[in-house]
Amino acid sequence: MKRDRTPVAALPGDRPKALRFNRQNGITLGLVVILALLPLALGDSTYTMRLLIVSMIWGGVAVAWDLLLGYAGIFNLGQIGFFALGAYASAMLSQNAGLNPWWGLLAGAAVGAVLAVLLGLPSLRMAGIYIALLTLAFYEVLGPLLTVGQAVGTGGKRGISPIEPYSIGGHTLSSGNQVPWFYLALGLFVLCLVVCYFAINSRFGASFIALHDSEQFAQSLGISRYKVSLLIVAISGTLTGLMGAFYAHYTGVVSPRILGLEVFIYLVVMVLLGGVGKFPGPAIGAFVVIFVSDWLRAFENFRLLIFGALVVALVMLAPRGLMGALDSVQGFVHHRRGRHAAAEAPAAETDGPKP
Amino acid sequence: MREFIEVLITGITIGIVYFLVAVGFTLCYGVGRVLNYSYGSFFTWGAYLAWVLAVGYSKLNYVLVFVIVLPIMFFLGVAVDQVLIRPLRKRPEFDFSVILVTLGLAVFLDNLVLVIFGARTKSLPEFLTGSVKLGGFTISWQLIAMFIFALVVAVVLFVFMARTRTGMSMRAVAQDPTGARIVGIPLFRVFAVTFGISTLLCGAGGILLAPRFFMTPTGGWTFLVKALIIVIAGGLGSLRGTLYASFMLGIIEAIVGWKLGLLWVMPFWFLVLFLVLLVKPAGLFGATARKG
Repeated sequence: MKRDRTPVAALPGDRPKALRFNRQNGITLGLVVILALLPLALGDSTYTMRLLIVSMIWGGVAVAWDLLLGYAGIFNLGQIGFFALGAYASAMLSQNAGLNPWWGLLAGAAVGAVLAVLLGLPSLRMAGIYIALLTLAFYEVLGPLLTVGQAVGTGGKRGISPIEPYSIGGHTLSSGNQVPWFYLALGLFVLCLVVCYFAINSRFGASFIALHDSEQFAQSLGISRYKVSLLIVAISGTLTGLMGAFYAHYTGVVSPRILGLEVFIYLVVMVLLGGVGKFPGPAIGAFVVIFVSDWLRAFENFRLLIFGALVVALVMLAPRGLMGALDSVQGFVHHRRGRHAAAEAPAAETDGPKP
Repeated sequence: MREFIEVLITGITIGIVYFLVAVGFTLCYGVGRVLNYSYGSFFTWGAYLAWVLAVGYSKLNYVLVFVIVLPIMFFLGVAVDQVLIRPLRKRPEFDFSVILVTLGLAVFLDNLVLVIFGARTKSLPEFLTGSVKLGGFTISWQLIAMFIFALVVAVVLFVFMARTRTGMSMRAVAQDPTGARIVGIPLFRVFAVTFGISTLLCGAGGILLAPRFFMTPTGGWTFLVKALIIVIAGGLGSLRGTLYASFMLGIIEAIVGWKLGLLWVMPFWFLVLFLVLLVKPAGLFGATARKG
């Protein structure tokens, strides 16, 4: 897959290219600005606001997951496990230990990071294909584990509910007014976007992309596959666990159902639809998936049938997703423009350099 | 003690059925480099097709059920390989695309079952009823039938791999695809046949295990994961490793299910997997898992 990234600053004293305006950060900025303004128009519509908040939560997770899938080439299929355990950690700390929910955000992020590293330590030493096997096994075993883990306070099959919402300055956030929740979610969403953007467009990003593109060459330059992979997995896990913690307090309930197939396939569609390795495509994919899925609610059982078929169709026919389509459009326009320019000044094209 | 030995016998029988399921998975990867995440759905489909024939819409004999369902499973596998996997082979990110496409297919197939048959659990009746007393142990005929059938399939598979032209070309492709192509082995046909055999084995496992576990539209995922764990523990692509790992985990399942309940089986399997990987990172008989 062709990944979107701006080149790294090449010369000392050069302004970092990551800070220059380009399509990648342009779209991201546009998305964030539009989102920040939306509550002015939709603030009263609790339902739409809810969908937007959920989209932002999953958008953050999708971008963090794509960091592994699309950029680092690590087939981690256990991403939702980080999310779920981040949510459980935060919920258990506030419900069982009585801690302030704000601390839960830190705890969720920490759990996500630790879990990612623990899972990464054995699996990243192995070939890529083993990672896909091991992480899926981890994801599938987590559900039964959380169910039998009643003794340590996971609440068994029914999970934990209700979970205390956040409060700001003694003022508890209610579900009636979604606007504070919205800006909180937006803050976390932006954090995910910023961290991922700078991870991709940094020297560090260059090293893991190089590893993905040509492992032996990258290693010959002194890049350690193991260290770089572990760090990127930790970053992705941290962001995912953080989003999980927020999700727990926002929805007020966590149960093993979060590990269901439905959530998993939605996340896959988000990344695929947005474009694998095409930041910030997966975040946009999240909005599309959440709203389309809500729109398809009437179809009940057929919904997942449709999403399953969609995954197959996307991989077969449009593996580069929405952002890939944008590439093609842009390429087409450039091509046309180039032809026009060539038609107007044919001599410039054919003439070689003159002494 | 007597009870323990009976549990052990159950474990060995489950083990050999798991071997059938897991060997199909490992074959598919070993020969075609395909990690088939829709494997669990083929398991479900095998069981539901058998249910349609034996319970739902007619009351066929089990022998006939196998005779009808297994070829269907084979051709289903060939079709999936030709339509979905083959076009992906020329892509640079083949592994990744295959994982995603089979995941999507799994969700599609599972929900097709859900839409057609509904979410209520179904069960297949046992092939044979009653039990036999052997030297003080009570063994059900069902278990014996399962054991014999699975053993026959396993032996047929080994003979097929060792003796027939197709089996030998499959092994050749597994060892060196380019070399196999140079000597004139039609690669894509071998890939398709392998995929068909793997879904056939999986479907057979589905029919054999359906009387023991209840059937639900998404029940196949458990077996996909079981196949995964067996295959990782045994070493991906290794038939011998798969054999040992299936028996080991089958016996563990029987003992844990007997002492603690079936809910604890998966956590224990995962624990065993981690212990195995700690000692041998490439699985019991894997050689090539380490990279770089």
